[in-house]
Amino acid sequence: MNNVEKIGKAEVIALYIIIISNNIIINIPTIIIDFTGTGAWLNVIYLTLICLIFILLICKFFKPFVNFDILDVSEFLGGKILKFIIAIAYFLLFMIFSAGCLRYFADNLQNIYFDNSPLIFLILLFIIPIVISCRAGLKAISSTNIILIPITVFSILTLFFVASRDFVWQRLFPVFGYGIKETFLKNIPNLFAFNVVAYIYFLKPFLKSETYYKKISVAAVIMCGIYLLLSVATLLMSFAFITQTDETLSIYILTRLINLGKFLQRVDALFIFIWILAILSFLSLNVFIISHIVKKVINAKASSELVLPISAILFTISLSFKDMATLKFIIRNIYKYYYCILVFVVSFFILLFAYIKKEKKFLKRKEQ
Amino acid sequence: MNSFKENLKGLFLYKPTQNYDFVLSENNASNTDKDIPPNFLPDRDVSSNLEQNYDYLKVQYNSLINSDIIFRPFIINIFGKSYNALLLGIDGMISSQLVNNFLLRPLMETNSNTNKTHYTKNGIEFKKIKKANIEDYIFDKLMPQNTIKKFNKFSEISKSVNSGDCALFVDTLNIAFVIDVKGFESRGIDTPKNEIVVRGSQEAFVEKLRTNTSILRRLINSSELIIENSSVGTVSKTSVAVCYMKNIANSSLVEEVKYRLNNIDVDYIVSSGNVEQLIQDNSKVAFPQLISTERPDKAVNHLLEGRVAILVNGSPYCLIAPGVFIDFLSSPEDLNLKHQYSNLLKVIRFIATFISLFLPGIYVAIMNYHTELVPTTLLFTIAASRNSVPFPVIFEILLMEVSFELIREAGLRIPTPIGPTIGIIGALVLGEAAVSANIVSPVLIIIVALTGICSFAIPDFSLNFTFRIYKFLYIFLGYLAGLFGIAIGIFVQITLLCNLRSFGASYLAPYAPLTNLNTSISYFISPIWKRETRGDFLNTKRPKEQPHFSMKWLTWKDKNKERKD
Repeated sequence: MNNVEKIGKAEVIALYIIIISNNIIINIPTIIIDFTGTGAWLNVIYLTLICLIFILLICKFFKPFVNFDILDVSEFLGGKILKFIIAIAYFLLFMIFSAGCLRYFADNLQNIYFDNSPLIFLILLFIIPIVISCRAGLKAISSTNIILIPITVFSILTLFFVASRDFVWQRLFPVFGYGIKETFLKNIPNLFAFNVVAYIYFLKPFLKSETYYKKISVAAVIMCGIYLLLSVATLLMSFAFITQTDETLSIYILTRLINLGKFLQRVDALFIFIWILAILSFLSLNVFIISHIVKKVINAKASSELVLPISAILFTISLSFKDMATLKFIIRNIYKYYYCILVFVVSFFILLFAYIKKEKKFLKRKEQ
Repeated sequence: MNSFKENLKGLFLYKPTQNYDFVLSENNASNTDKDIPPNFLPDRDVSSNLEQNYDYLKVQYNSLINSDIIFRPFIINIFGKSYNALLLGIDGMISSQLVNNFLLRPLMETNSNTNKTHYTKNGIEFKKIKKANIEDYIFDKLMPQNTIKKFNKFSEISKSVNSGDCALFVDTLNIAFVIDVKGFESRGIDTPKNEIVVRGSQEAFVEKLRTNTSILRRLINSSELIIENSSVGTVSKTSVAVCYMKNIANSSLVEEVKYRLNNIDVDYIVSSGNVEQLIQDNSKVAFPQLISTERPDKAVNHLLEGRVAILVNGSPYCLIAPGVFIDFLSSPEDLNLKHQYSNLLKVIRFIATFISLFLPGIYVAIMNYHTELVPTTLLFTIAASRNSVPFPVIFEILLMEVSFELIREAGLRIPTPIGPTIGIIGALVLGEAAVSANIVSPVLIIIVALTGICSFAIPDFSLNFTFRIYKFLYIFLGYLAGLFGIAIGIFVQITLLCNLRSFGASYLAPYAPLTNLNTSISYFISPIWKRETRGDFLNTKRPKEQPHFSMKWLTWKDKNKERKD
């Protein structure tokens, strides 16, 4: 773990922001709205609070494990077998989500601009820069993020502000959407929208200094909550929630509302342009983390050599979704629960037990 | 009649072929001198026998065929004894006046000094003969020169002689005196030709290394300025000076520069451009990784920032390491102006950079994939103008861009008196004629012209080249996948630049990775009194450039006011 590239505070924050921004780009707020109706914004606030509690506990449990990620903690608790199981679980989590994102975005891009181009060509065009970026390493990915973040955040915030002209406040009602139970109990798995937590488990060893790990993690969850709230509220107030925007990126539909005078009537291509950069950055990070996981499992020397085969798997999986309906079904009905169980239950308990084990060891040593 | 006969004869008589047929073998491997070292004669120590030294030098300098080598044998009288001596120099490199008046004359004049002293003891006169040390005597009393070195290796002697010094060999001495009597002609200090500023120094570097180092010395009035000399090239042995501020520059950086320079194994170096290519971090990347400047004030500014300057003999350009991306977008003028003016220029330059790199690609992308981005009225105008053009946009733009590049290249190479002609032809070909012939649309002419003008606003010559190359890549990507293709290109390029390092400094510093921006090195500059620290990425020995209150007169004024009150 000592040979990993270390990144600074600003770079880590930029990485978290790109993860959060991509949640919005790939329609995660729409999924929350679909499950909770107009109660989505209350649901997001509620989930943010839950996630904050979780993250505070995770940081506390992680504290004694210097330069450890969740795989190292699993090894500490249950040996190589547990590490292997957790690695496989996270490999699947990141791989399915990345492949889903790639397919979803490429499909939408095809629908919007490239009717005549085959999907395989578009996905391949995404894969090439991802491979180049991942081979350059985490430092290059995070530095790229630093440059891309201002324009990505600016594009999303601009969108919210420009769309605010068409806001209808009444669309936020009824406040509880499909009901109190749906808003606060049944849809707790909407926690999957806070996918930044999964990255928090892995990025700790890459930090230049662990002193700001807790602060950054808490800030990431708060930012994620604010972003989700903004996007959910914007979508709710811009469209009647019954309106189905499933076929295209909801945020893209928002761009169609922008009308900057008579001269610039359609600027959606510019937003798509920025989001392509954001998606590329996000997928590069995912592929890097997947390579890192595989590297740890097979005890490889460097993860850069694994980038190409992993990208090939990503390419294959993203093409293997039969259609968008299948992809949506997997994300909404399988991935969502899988994520919550793995990140908020399994990993959390592993951390908790490992923490207890460590404390016990520490006390034993003290007694001796 | 005679000529007719001659012609008739010529028709039927045999004539041996008169074609001049000199062909060099195209295969280098056919040469057998592969293993011959750069110096044909093995290096040797100076012998105490002058004849032997003379013979060696004759062979070393090919005196039978070399016309400009001067061997001047003469006799020195010391302590009443005569010693054979030999002076070696190169005609044109040494100053005859200096050699005649201040070297040969003192050496050849009869020296009345003796090594004998007389003294009387108890009424008896004694003569005491001191042990004669000719070497010290010549060095101390016979050579009124300020720079004399003693060498005992022929390689060191020839290196100095080749650079304009002359060598003195004396029989019985196994060393040679190398005396600085340089007198070759060189260009005087002139105004900068390629980095012109309105406010600022009008001095430029010249080809002579020592003149350049003296300019730096003059501008930095500090003994902390170190100028270390070394040579590069096994045959050319080009002198290279590494300059840095001892109390500011990071020692590892200085060592790295010296390490790279000392480990260049090439036969010859003819310019700083050669050195730049041999010491840069990544030669596959087109982006420049070392700053190259002809302006001493710019070099001094970088030296005081904590960077290392490299001067190469024979080149009027100074290399500065490390060079980061924003350095190539900065003009020497920026530091001479108020920060408001500089920042305005920087904004304009940034826009120009963006346009020169992306505009043709974006035009192709928009015309092929994203026509909705263009306002309707403008779209109609473009469509109408393209109506009579038979070619696709990609062909149109490539045709015009290549034509523009051709005119630019021809304009540079063409002799000055006919220079304006190429401009007229260019304007006619690129503008009027191409549009009239319906080969290209008028909008495209505007795009190409704007791109060309903006490329001239890029201050660095090398970066300009880089952007010219990448411009074609973005045209291709725009054609391939519209803005999606361009986004991919940008992403890859940013990633590769983030991964690039110049002498240990991140190429996109101080922005990626993000470090303190409130330093003297950032794209947009703060007021001069606010530039308190040096660039973080340089990791200098003196991070502070100036105290928090640099304009102390302001505080003194307040204190005086208080006193008066």
